[in-house]
Amino acid sequence: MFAAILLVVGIGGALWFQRPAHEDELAIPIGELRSQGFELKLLNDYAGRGRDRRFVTAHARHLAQSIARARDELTSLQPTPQLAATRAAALQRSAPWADAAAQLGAGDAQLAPASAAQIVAAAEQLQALEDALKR
Amino acid sequence: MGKLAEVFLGILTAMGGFVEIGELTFTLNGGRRFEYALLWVVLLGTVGIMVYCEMAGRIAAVKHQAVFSLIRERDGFSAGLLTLVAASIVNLLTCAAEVGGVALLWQLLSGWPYRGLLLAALFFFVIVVWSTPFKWIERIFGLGGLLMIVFIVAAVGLDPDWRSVGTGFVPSLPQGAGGRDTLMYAFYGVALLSSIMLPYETYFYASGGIEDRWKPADVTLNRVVVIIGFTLGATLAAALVVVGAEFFKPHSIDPALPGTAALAAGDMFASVGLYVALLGMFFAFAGAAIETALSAAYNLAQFAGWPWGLDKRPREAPRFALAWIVVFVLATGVVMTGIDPVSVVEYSIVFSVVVLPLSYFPVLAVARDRGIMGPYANGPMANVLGWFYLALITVAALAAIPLFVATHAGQG
Repeated sequence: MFAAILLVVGIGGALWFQRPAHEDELAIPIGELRSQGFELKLLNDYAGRGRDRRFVTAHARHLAQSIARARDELTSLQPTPQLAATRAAALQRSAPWADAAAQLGAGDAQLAPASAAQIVAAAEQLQALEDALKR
Repeated sequence: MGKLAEVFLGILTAMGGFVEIGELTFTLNGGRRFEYALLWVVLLGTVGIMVYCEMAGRIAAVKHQAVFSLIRERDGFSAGLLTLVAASIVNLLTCAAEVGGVALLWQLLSGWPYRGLLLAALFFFVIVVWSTPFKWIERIFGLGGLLMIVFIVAAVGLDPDWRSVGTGFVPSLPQGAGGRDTLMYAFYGVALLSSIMLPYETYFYASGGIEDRWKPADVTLNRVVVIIGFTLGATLAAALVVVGAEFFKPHSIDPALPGTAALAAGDMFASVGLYVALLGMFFAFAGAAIETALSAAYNLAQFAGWPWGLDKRPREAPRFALAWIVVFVLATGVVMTGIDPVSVVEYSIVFSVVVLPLSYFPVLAVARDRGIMGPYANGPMANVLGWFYLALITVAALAAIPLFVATHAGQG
């Protein structure tokens, strides 16, 4: 009896995890990435003041790891066909961020102005994608 | 000075309970998502934890009996054992998150590798708890945690609309909330209530009162300690909600790392703010790590009837000493796997709500019993508040898991 319950729970769990991701599930990693993009911009501004280098580099490394984790999470989701383009857009927009964070983490004083502006523009686009998914 | 110093037990308990790593991100994110609409939950939970810590402290002063000794006596062995296991898991997970949080903070200050710093944190905690008398643990971490006041200064400096802040203390749904937002709001409300009324605060506080050798004459002191400590903790929690609403919302950032919270203080007050915030978080997280490890050891020793207390030499209470060392080692092992400390504590906060009714009912039952407590038994007000909060946490316990699943662990 116990084995049968375990089997049903196991099959149910496997089917649950294999089902296509819907709007609300896709919005979670996109929201994380949106937040990380804006935080990267804030940290870059802070780095521009030329203070607390050790803090900036260590926090940038934490941020780079979080961005990589959120991107992995987004990559692993299998969205419904109509949401595939949204996922692809979010992955494409956030693609340079982990490298940008790693660059700050490696001790660079500040990102190039064009690169910082690109991060903000991409984060705003992710915000729009997230809002559309939550509507 | 002696009596005044007792206040640090309240401050340490409150700081370790209100501003540990999970609560820090929870309050900041609560403010970021719902602005001031959750402030009433901070107030509600604060009064609740004051009511139950006051009762537990009074029982400790009058009967010299701690919470888990009451649980075994009142709930019986089986229900008591279930509570012990659940409370130990919650304590272990919370301790793991705090040890991880301390290592993350040290990394922000030193840039050294995370796993090496986790091992350093393990040695630091074992040496501190082994070699420092209980009173000095209270004073050092209680006083150090006061550096978190930088967030109160930040909240005032952000110049919020105080009328809106005041409105947040009146229960209401956030403006324009749809079905999903309402679920998220309910999840945050239950989780915030749970995190403020975390059961380990009561276990630690009552055991601390016994460690500090409170007597029936200290019942008034107990009330003062509870009121000052938890009012300070609640003010800090409310300030973090304001910082979430006024700093992180306009920046569209959902704070998920201790460094993010420090960045807000650094952005406002330059290097001084940054380092005061990092140091304050260190004392608060370290205080919570010690509180949870000792709570787990107190609970086990009190349930099993072993000798316990930091005033005893390890050879006089060997199983108690072994228990808190094992908790620190296991907690370090959990975060060594690479799991995110903030996620660990958010899970433990939600699941701890299930332990709350089982932990608090025996405290209420003894505190109101005139046969046991004599003239120190609950008055009508304490009884009404005690029953009200017991009903409230029972409802929260029933709602916690469904809300956790429905909101993807509060993520959306």
